[in-house]
Amino acid sequence: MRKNLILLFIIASTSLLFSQKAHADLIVPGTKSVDWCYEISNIDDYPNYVFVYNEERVSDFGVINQGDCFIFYKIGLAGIYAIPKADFDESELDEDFFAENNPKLIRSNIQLDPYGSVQWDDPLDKVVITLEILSLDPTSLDIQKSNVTYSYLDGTSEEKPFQSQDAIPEPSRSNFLPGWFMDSWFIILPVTAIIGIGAVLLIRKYKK
Amino acid sequence: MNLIFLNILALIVTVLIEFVILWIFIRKDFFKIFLFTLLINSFTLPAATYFYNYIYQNFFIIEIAVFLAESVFIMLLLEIKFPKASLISLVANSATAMLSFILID
Repeated sequence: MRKNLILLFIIASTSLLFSQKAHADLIVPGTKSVDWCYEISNIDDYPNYVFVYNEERVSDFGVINQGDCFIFYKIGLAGIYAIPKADFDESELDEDFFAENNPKLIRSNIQLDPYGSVQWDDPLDKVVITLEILSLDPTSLDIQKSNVTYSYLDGTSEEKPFQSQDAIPEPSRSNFLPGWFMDSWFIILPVTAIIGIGAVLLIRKYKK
Repeated sequence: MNLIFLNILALIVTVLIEFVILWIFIRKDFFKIFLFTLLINSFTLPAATYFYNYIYQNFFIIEIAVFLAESVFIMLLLEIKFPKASLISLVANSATAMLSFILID
């Protein structure tokens, strides 16, 4: 019986030990998700076209209007498409609509990533990535990421232009807890406490 | 909410809850028990928070480590036997762990 209990304890402890790995789309402990979305700044410049996005992994798609900030599955990759307005019927919009051989679709050169999560004490609250249509003709759609707007928990925000299409500009602020608090809270307080505990035990020992 | 305020609030709430539980078990030396609870939690709470957020993100393992550390501290400071210290630590840490789950949800 005792051996079985020890075995059970070892199995339970081992499973707990390895249970920290994040599964699928769960948020990793110690991090938080931030609101993020994409917008296209100049849809109104192309009144004869409808723009749609599609995330293939979970069939997450929708129409993008001027001023819309759209979001897709948080571990997916999304593409953007244009369709001549005359050929577009929103009721046709489904998973099959995005098949390779759909002649109505004008595929863009861009693939969009989700923003992801940040460290638990990060001041970031929202990320808006702005896209710009550079050119559109019946065979090609050229879009680029033009800037990113970071909004912080204290209500401030900043806008940063993309220097490269492969790398998102970093936010200027990344750590919420100031250094003095980190030092006081994680070093000075526990060290003082352990010295206090030691002092209590020592005083008691010498009093006896 | 400001994270500095949240950290301080977490320490105050934890100290109060664990003090009440220690007091229920021991029922003597009111101020001494409060001081011991404050000292113990001023060590374990920041240490646990740091480990969870920066080193090892496993809530259960960290809670077990906190339970064991507090059992030893309670045994030494209150001069009681380890089984009783462990029981007090188990009840106190279960209560604060459950509260943290409720607050996080």
